[in-house]
Amino acid sequence: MRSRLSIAVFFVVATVSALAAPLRSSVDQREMPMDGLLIITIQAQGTDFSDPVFEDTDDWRIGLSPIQQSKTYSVQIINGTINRLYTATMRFEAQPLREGKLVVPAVQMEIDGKIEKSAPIPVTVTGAGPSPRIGRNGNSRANTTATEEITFEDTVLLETNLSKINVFAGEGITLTVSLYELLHSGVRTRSLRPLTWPEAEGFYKGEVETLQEARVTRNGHEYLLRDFTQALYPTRPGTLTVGVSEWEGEVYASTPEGRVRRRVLKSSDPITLEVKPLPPAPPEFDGAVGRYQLSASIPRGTITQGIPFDCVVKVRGRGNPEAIPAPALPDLAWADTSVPASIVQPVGGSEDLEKVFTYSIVPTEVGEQVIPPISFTFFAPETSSYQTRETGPIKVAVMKSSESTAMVVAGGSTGADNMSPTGDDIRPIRTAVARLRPERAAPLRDATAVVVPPLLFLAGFTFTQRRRRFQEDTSYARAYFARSKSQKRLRAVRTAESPVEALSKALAGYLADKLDAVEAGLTSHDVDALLREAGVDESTRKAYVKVLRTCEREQYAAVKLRPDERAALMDAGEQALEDLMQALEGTRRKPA
Amino acid sequence: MMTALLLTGLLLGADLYEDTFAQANKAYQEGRFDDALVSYRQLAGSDGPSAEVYYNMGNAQYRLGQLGPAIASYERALQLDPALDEARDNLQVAVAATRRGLARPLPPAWRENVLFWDQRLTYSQVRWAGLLAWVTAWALLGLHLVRRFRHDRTIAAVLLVVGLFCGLSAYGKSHPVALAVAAQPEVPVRIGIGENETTRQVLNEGDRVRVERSRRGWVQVSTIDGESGWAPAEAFAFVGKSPETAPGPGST
Repeated sequence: MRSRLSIAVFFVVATVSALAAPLRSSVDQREMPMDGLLIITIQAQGTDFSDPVFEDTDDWRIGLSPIQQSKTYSVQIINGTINRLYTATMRFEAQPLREGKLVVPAVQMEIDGKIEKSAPIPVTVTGAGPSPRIGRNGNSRANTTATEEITFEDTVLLETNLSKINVFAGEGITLTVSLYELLHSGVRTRSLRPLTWPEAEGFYKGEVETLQEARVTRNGHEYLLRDFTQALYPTRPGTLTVGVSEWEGEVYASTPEGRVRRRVLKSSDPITLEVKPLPPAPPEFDGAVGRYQLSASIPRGTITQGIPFDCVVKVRGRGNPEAIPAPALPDLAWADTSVPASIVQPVGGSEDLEKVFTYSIVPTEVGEQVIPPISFTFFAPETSSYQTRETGPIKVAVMKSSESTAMVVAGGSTGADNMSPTGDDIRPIRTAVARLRPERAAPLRDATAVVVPPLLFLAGFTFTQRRRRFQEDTSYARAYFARSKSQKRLRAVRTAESPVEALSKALAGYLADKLDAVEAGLTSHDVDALLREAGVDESTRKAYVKVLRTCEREQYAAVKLRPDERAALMDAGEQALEDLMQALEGTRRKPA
Repeated sequence: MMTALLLTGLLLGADLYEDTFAQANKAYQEGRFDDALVSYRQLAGSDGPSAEVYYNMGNAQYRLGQLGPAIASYERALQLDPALDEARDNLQVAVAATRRGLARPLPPAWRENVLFWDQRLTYSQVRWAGLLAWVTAWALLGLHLVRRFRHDRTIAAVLLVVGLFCGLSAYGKSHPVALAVAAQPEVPVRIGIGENETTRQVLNEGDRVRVERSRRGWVQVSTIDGESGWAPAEAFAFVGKSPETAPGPGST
């Protein structure tokens, strides 16, 4: 009696304790088949929660995030204080990984700053049982002629197909993965992970594309069909295999036994195909397999020497775009060409692709030029033969550049100047220089060269002008040379045979030259008249005339002058001449 | 004896110049642009370097990423030898690499209108042509005094005019527009001297400006679009010598 009471008290206390615990976990079934799904419910009470963390286990695969969660709260008034108490409920899916007596691991959460832990829960997992029947389709829109009952295996179908299984190396084929999901009022499917795509070793693979969903009928049942496609290009001849595709999910179905949930794993079958080698190829073939068209164009407008323009070559068709090489541009003697840039773009409204190659061409010569035909060779599987497409020649009119210093890009430069920080090449340095040091400026020499010639010209000009005047104007010449002539005569007077006569001639001769008078027969009386006419002052005139009269008396008188008298006469004559020269400076008698 | 010593010195100096130039070129071709630049600078700082020295120096500066100094060197090379096409081409490449590709400030209008014909002639060429025309003209005129021949005065007059224009061109080439090139990524140009003055515009590396005057380590500059202001002289690479000394080809 006492032991039974103890056990009862124990259970009551345990239950109360469990009910009061802030963290609790429970499962929806204690026995389950291997292919079933277990729902673990976690309930936490408090005001602040962390995310739940399951203890590590090798027996279960537990979902990382809850499939369902909710939060409610209640208000409590304790000793006059209002408190809110939250209750969080989370549901996780778990898949058993083996049969036998398993234990659902405890879960930990931090609630209101304290680490709480739930109790582990034992669950027995048995082997997978027969797939329960789902029953007839209750959907009135479905095919009512179907009588066959549906099993879980029929709820999801997975198939893979290749468009061709006997192909050439490099020939494009399409891999299609078809996923059928049963449309049934009592059935619901959900995938647990993304569709596993088939392995395709030995192929170049394109992008996976999803086609539009469709409703199809199969075996009298309606399915939702989703097709996924991928372009494959076998890279080598031989036997190649496309692997399997997998779909894993859960199916919820209403069966005569009640609502059932099952995990479903579907795999497609691998596909083997034979890849034939290409026949012997011509030398111009460079790997493209498919069906193509070729075109080339240049921009409209003026093409100028030294200025790059684009030549666009397009290869359009079906085939592996990666295997389409750049069509070789013929060598252009009149231009430099670059390695082309390429892009692949779809062609609207068709399944074709277009690979566009852009060549940059820099004309180096002016005039009418031609881009010769461009060819492209590929293998056409439809005809099992190599085909060549060729563009027509393109005429180009290259205009001369208006800039005389326009740069012409020329490749092939050597030396350290090949690379430059900005990507544009600069011309190389000069190593051979004719004159390393330029000629220095010499200002003095330049000034001399500038000033001296005009001065020399001026001197020459003056000389010739004067000489011409002397030749053309005798009175000017007589007056100009009168002084020097008389002085010369005076110097000869003292040594002359007849000094008095020489003095007289010198004095008269000077006045005649100066005033442009006739010298021969010029008497002292004539000299006096000339001096009066010239306006010479009286004292100079009288002294001059007196000397001349004394010379005349000496010439014609019987008594000659004594030597001292003669010397005095010479001095007086020189003085009178000097005085007269000063008086007549700048004076010239006007010609009659 | 002194003459022999002087001649020997001159010859030795010439050899040293050639050797330094060859050394610099070798360093450049081996990719040692720093070393090449040092040698080129040494030659440029000596008495009367040729256009090729500045051109090669510009290449070395360009390779080292010194865009402003490279442009200044190319401009100087073209001042010394306008027919040096490599310098013109590389100048275009360097200017194209600048942020704005600012054009060179224009010379005075009279120079453009009167001396449009001397773009590809060097200072030496116009100088010699001018002197020759000038002396020949006066010689013809002198000959005319002694013995006249047909159209001698007309020819002399034409030669005098040619001589005058060539002289003007030579003067212009020996006194080119003072240019500078921004040598820093950004050079603020202010309305006055001093860091506190308002910035009028900002020049980028490689922008070419005309130097109007200098004062207290600052230079007043103007761009092709007419904007002018003051900026520190150290922010520029000058074409030729710095503003304190007048640049000129083969100046002594």
